[in-house]
Amino acid sequence: MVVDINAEDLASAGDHAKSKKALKKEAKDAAKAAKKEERKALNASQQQDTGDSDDYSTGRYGQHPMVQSADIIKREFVHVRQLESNLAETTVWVRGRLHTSRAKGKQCFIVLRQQQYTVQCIIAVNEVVSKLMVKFASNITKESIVDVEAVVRVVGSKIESCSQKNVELHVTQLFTVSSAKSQLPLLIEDAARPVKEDEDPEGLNIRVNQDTRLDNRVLDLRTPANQAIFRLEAGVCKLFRDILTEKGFLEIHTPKIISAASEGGANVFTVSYFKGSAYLAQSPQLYKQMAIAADFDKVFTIGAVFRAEDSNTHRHLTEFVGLDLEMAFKYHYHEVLDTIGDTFTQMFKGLRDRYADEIAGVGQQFAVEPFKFLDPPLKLEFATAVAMLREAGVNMGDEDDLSTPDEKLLGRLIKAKYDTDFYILDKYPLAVRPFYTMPDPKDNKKSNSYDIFMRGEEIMSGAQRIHDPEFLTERAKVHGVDLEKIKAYIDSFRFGCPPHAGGGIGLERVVMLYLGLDNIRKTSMFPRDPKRITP
Amino acid sequence: MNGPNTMYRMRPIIKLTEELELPKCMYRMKNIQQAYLNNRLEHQLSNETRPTSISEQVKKFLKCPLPEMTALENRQEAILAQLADLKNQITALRGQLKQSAAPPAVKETNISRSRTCNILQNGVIHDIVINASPKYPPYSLVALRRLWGDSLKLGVRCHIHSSVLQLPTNLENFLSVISDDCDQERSSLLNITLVWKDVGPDTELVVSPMKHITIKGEVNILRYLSRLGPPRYNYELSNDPAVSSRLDSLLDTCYSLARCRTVKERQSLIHSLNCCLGKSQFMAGGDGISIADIAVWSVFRQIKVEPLQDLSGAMKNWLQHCSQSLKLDS
Repeated sequence: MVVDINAEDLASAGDHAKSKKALKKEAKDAAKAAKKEERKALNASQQQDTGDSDDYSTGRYGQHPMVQSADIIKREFVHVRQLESNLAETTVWVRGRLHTSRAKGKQCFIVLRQQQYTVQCIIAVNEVVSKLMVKFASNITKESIVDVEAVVRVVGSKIESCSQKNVELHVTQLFTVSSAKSQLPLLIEDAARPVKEDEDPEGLNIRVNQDTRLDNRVLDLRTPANQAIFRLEAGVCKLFRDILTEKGFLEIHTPKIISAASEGGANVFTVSYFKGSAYLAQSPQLYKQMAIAADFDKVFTIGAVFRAEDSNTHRHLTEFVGLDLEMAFKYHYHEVLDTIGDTFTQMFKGLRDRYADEIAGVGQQFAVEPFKFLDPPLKLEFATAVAMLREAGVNMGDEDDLSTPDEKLLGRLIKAKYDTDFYILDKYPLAVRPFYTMPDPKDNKKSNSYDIFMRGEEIMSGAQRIHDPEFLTERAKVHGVDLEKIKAYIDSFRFGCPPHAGGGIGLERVVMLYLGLDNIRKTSMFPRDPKRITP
Repeated sequence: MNGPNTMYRMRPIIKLTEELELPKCMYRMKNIQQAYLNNRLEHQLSNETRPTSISEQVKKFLKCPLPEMTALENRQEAILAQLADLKNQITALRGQLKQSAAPPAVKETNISRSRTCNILQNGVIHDIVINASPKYPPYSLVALRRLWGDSLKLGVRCHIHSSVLQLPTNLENFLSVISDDCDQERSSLLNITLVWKDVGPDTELVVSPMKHITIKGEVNILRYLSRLGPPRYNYELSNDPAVSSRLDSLLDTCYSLARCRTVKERQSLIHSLNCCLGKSQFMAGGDGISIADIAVWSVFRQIKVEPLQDLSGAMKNWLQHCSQSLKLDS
């Protein structure tokens, strides 16, 4: 009997299994809908609450009508950064994002964020703040933009969770200007959590992975570290501009749509160009050199560079910002190399002295060693580097190029010996450089070319270019380059050209290495790689 | 006539066919034994006509010497004769100029040069890095450069580490002396990269992070460099071990002097240096400047000793002697 019943049960269960699941789902949906209704009703009631006669805070809180520039309101806003104890007991207006909120009976704590700065606000029931206003405050969604009128008060013990540790705001008025969706794809708190080597198994370890971050880049960029990274990136760009301009360089702009590949043909993007096709520039080199041939003497350019390399590594992007310079010299290309080295040193000094806050901000999330450099920069010959590597047990020929692991090892060796993250390797073997590189006059196996490294990764590759059309043709033949394809390049030297040298760096890579970050996508606002072209 | 052919000759057990059929599905490789096999074949062919007995062969060999051997002998004779002739010429010249044997100093320099060259070419030392604090400039390096002069050229390059914001202005003189006639090509034999870095009195010397540990303290760096440098100035090579150990203890006093905190400590150390000097002209006792003089001179400049207050009469004279022989103003 017992068995029978069980069997029946099972059978019926099997029959209804599907429908049961469906039922469950329906019920869940219904519950969700009901909750939604409830929330709507709540919101509505809140809106209504503002109209309630017994609420003495009416007009002191609520939804700000959409800012359509209806009327001009003269109101002085204070930046969260400026909220210090010197403003104590004054009433200020602040516009910021609601970072976190925590309601507790008759009071509500809010952390207000403006860029990377945060301040604690407190809304407590008193003569001007009603219970309903506190309730309204606790229901504002995270990341909403709010206008706050508050009194600045000095606190007894420091607030460790905020950037403004000495003061807090006692809110008297509160309006939401733009509310965020209640469900966020990622929480700023999680995205900003410090990355530590030794994970604390007890602590909260929610991480946001790279792809989620990049898919919701707008939210991700709001973290203090990202705010700092892009401020620093702007700093690199500005310093590059300022230093070179001071050195007598001229900023030029080169075309990005070109007819033929400038450096070899393999890794260029083809775009349709009316009835034919064109390419996206993979380097402004040719145009820089033409500017030199056109007597601009010293030029630099900042602009997008495109590389159709299908490499998914931590340091390759298909579109990046190139900082390129080219300079005519009198007799020795070391004139140029010293200028480049000095530019970098000045840039690093500028970053060290003027962007210390940003560097510290990044350091809070990504613990990395500060960037070290020497002034004047360390300059080693390629042969010395090879000797150092051999001493460390690497087998390589005199004319071999450095492999990526070798470069990293060399970086570590040089760091250990000279304690510098920045160095220049000079006199590369001719065999591993492009055809337009000027050979060394004393040793035909070497060339007048150089690579510049940061933290063991190459950031700039440059050389003295051959400016003599006949010699250039000869070298191109040796390298087996099709002369027809580079005719325009060679021809540009036929009307006399001063000896010149130069090089280019990628902005994102320099910032990544300067900060010691592990991925170039962290230093590109909207990175482009073979697998991502949105957002 | 060598190899297995000098042994008993055996008839081959297996007759190899001339052409071996090799599979063609793999990479073709050169037959490494082909040359040897060919040789054997030739020998096999020629052996039938040759005398087979080894003794007969040896006799034959001894009887008629090879033409190459005679040619070589003749050449050797000719070279020896030429050498003897050269020697005669030189003795004749020396007689004319009334000079004795070559001056020993030159010899010494040559030795040191070749020795350091060896060190450099073996790849042990490419470049010596010295990290020094701007508060404790390694004046001994300047002195050493002057002292060694041409017998071992020191090429010094200065860098400022990013942890040092600005070099104090009183180092300008130091910098100009340390890096004068330092040409771009680095023709010098021993390259030193001087990095200004905040390391306190523990001046550091790094040769190779892989194989050496960092040497700390200026006097220890002096010891290391004196072993590399010309033997003439290497105090450890002096014949009297007592002198060497006395200089060692002098160097240790300098080490403590750079680190002493109280005025009392400092005075007692200077006093002991005073005693060491006694009435002699230089620290080592002889009439020549030595490593110990350089160390003391350097540390005095670092801690800014007031000659009039702290030093005895002999010491003041010594300070002048040092500055004169190093051509550096104190």
